[in-house]
Amino acid sequence: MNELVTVTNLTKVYDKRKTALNQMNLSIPKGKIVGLLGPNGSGKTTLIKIMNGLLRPTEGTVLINGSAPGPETKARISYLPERTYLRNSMKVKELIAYFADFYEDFKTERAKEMLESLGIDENAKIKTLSKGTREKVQLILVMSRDADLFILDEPIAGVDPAARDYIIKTIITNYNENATVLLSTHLISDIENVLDEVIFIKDGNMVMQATVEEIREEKGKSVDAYFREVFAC
Amino acid sequence: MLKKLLKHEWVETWKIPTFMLVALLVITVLAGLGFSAPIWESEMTGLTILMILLWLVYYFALIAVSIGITIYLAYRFYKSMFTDEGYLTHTLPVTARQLLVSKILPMCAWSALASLAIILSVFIFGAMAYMFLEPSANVSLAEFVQELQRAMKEVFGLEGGTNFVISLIALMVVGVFSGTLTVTGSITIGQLVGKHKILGSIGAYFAIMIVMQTLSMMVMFPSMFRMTFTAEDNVFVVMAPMYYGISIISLIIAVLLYILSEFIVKRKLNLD
Repeated sequence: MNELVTVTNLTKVYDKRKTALNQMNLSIPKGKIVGLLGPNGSGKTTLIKIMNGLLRPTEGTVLINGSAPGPETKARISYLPERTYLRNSMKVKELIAYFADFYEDFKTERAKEMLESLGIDENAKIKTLSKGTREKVQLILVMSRDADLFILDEPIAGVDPAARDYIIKTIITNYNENATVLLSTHLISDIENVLDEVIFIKDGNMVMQATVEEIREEKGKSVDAYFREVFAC
Repeated sequence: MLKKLLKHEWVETWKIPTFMLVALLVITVLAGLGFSAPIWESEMTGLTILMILLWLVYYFALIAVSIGITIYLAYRFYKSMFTDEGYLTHTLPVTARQLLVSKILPMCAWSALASLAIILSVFIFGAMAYMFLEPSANVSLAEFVQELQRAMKEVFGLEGGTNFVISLIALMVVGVFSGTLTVTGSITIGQLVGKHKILGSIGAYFAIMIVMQTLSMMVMFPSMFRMTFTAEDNVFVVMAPMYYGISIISLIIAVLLYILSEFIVKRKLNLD
């Protein structure tokens, strides 16, 4: 079995009114960097939150390595949400200890090396750091694990181009080749070169899943150009 | 994993409640020292006004500690479970039960500590008042303990005294759990309300309190009836069944609230 994630008839309706996911079916293979692409409000974050057990589906299932989201899957998924979840009162080094305590696959040395290379003081309290630095700390914590699945929700949105390059470099140099990276974004041109596959979603439905190579060969376009064509307003 | 969760929860929450309890004890001693100057015999000077203010501060400190610690821990529970911090809390490889227990147990411990600190504070304040106002009595600590033992014997010696004390202790112990679970349960139930989760939590809190009060009144009624319409004048005999009844009701509600909270966190969690 080469599939790591299987999504079957997944539906999520908010407040009995807004359908965020509508009978979605898709699968994500092992060992690939997969782009989850779609315009704002297409359902990317909802899908990701269900995969991480932060939302309950209205209908359908998500299986990760054959298990529904729970303690076993959480031990193998490293998740970077679109928002900052770090506790302001904690120091960076306390967060490292916290992650090392709960995640068996957390590599403290790797985290410290990354912090050093970015000049972030381990003794600094989170509340004293800028928003950009907090996001970097969060990314470092997430990428310091040897997880099976990295789920990164909009990791490059809202950061400057230099930080964007660093983040992309961090992602491609810190995951092992057996792991899968699911990367959600609408800033495609910045990450297109690192992607193996893309999943386009629109209005809560998957509209296409293909390898980057297939898009380039069959459509004769870059993923970014094709995305603009598919999602043209 | 539960041990690790408890350790981190304790590290995260101990500072502010400890500060509050230490501040209460300091204020208690300062307020107690106010009895050293017989201000009612002197004219109103700056010092006497200061002393009166200090007693007022002490009175409010007693209230603030019990309410303050509850509010702080309720806020921490809400923040770590249902706001942005929840994204980390709920992606830890732990079960809903482990998460809830790791939050609820320290809250219960702080609730118990706050109650003990308040009792100790009142005791110190009273002892200092006695010491300064009745210096001729020259009561030593040993004599004081003896007096306390004598009073306890009197209570236990009376018909139903032992039973009464046990019922009172049961009420206090259950109160620690039911008080905490009412708070955590209300916050968790509030998460089921679409956009107005905080309002939902406040509504849930009042609803739980109304149910608890109504059931408690039903338990209290027979005791009150007995006291009013029979010749029974032993307050212990009347009060003990009432305390046991309220304890049982509080315990049942606390257990139901826990089961509901675990169900919500496990099956109905929807973080915004």
